[in-house]
Amino acid sequence: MTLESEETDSAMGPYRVLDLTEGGFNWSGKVLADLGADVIKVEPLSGSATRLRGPFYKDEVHPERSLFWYAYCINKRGITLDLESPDGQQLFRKLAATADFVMESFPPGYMDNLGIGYKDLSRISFPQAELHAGAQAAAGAMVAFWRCQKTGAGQQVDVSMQEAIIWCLMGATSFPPLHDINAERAGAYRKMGFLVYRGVYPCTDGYISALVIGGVLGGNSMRALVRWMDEEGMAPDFMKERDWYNWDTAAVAAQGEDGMKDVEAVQKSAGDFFASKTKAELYERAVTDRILIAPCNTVQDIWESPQLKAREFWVEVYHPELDVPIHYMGPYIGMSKTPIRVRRRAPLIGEHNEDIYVRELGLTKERLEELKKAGVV
Amino acid sequence: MALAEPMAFEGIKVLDFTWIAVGPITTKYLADHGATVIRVESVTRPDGARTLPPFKDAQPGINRSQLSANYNTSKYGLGLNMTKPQARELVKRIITQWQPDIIAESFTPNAMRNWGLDYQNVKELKPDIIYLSTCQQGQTGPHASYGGYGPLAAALSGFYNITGWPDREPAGPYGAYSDFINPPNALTAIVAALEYRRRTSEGQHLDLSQYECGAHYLAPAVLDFLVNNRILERKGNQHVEYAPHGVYPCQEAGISSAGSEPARSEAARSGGHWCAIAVTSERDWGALCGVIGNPPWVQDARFSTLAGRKENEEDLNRLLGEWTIQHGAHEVMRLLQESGVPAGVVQSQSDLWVDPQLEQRGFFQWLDHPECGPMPYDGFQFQLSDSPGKMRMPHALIGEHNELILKDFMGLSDDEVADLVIEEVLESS
Repeated sequence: MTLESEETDSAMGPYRVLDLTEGGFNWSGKVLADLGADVIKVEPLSGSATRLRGPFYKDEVHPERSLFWYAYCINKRGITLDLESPDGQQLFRKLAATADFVMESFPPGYMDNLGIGYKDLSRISFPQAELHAGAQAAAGAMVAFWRCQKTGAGQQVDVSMQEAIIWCLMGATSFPPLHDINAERAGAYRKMGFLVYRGVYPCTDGYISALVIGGVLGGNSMRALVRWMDEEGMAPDFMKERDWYNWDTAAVAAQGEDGMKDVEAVQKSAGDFFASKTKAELYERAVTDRILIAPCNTVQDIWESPQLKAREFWVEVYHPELDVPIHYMGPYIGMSKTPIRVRRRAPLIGEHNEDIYVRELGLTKERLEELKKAGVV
Repeated sequence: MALAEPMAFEGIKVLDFTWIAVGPITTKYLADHGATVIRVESVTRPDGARTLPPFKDAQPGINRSQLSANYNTSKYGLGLNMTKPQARELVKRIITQWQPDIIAESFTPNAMRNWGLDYQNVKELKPDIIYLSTCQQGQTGPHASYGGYGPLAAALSGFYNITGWPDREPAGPYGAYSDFINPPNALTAIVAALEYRRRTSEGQHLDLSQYECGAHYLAPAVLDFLVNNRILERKGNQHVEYAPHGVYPCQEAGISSAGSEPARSEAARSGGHWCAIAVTSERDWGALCGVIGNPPWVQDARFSTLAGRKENEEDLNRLLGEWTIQHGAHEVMRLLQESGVPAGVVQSQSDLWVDPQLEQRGFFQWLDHPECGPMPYDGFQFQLSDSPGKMRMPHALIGEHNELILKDFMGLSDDEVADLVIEEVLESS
């Protein structure tokens, strides 16, 4: 996919986002930018701190070379503004009046102290987050946005990074009250109370993630796996005879020691089989026979994935300053009517100052020069 | 001023065929914020999440899984045996008569097609439908029919290879990691599609590949490979650039400041006592040196620059560990945080139940489940000031609301419903 020069229909095209977030919280603005919103990074005069996050283009530590910035500020525009000066705050309020979302990740109270917090702006804003929190922030902002479309009332979206990450524990939070235990770390194994299973297995040239479980979740996969093992003379008799759909692994494990021994024996036999194959052999059969196996991909494997190539996932973006094209991952979701497109690479420091302050906010060029001299932009 | 009414998605109707985690979590946001969500499930082919722990009283059972309960609050349960043609006809009738705004499904691409309920078919019945399809690798491409769960998509997306110790096999993140990346991003796209429909009256099909969305969370590492030819590998708790950066051993005493000692189970205590510390700037390094009392070793020339600290990281970690082990984990966290150095105590799940921050924000909630009684639920991941949303109902039993849905929402007669029961179209657990 190459850059489209013309604007196409987008879902969030009519809306503007002021994005003051740092680090992985930038994901929140990136999602909205992908969906078509006009997302403007508002950076301090020396540039956002995120520009010093590695890795860097050709390893050159420089605010215009951060690959982290490239990845998560793509599709956004950028301006500089000193939020701590009165002139800067006044300009920010003017800008905020044109915006539908304000996103920030400062410590609580910072924006309020500058007189540009939620109460002062009464739009949609939120503090806190990194990637997960950034995603929750974008989701929460969209819930608030939808309600605002009906009622006209904005609101504040508050995301706690801790709560966003706890959600990734897959309900393990309830092991203490329900099982009176904690799920514990166990390397390549998973310890979910009475259910202990291997999640990662070695093969001849690396590792795979596999679910050697029966029941509703894995019965069909186990049938296909044992059939394959049998073809190669590696299926023990006790596995050939089993009704895998009714071998619900958690229920078997819950029976106690004998149950867990059975689970271990099955996983041991499967593991021996995996150890005789390459990642590619296992994955190929996983695709055709629907076996619950995936290779532990490196970033290079992701780049070389035939599936991603076939779906035209990669987008080539030209960076004029570097005079090179760089490949980026494409749409995070396919949308048939309002497809996500890459419209521009991540902004340079203050790249859109003139566009936004002069052409859109109506400041004179002279006023912009004054503000520049005063160190406000 | 609190203006809880209206809830954000009041009036939005969702017909939900999703299962396991990505789909259910996505529709849970809609349900908890006011949408009417009918979740279609089957007893003959139940949602696999219902077979995973934790379980009520640690006893497996199709209605006892808290894992699936956590992802399905505020939804109505419709139990259908979709292998019966009458069930598929009933679904079409629901689409034309009840007029859902959104349909969501998370099967491999053939399932809905085989039932005649894929986007192309549904669009004929309801042209402005917003239809979310999510599966491991998307609706198109040579691997579209690949079936799997989060632990597999997370391995495809690169997370397993980089999680664990460099000299051991990959550990991978706990659980189905990509299942927690995809849902909020899916919701954002769904609301964007609702907004587009509001302006244009046009619906659309959303195709969420859990592999692709997941890989975005490693975007900088992918660029690092494409630009610098560097392959990110697992590094334990070390950071690629920063040091000190890791998890440091702490003294057993002093841990109780997180909550009352009796609240901590034996298992929690056996987990060890650790504090994560992340120094990412010279300022933080200076502050850390101050907190630990500027011992002579911090003056060592080897540690005077970031490059030096990174190069001598092993010694640095050992020396810093000699300080942390003399203090409780909470004390280490408090001392460092007070000086602005990022530090966080390593908590077990039982620690979370006595975490004062979570307690004050009212994170955990208990809902009364029809079969299990009180069940614990994780709280929301974002808090809205004026329309906070609510877990309005616990996880429904399969088919718990068959009558309500068919009679009250759809206006079917008693006889029609009775026929569907006799024909074994309707199911309940």
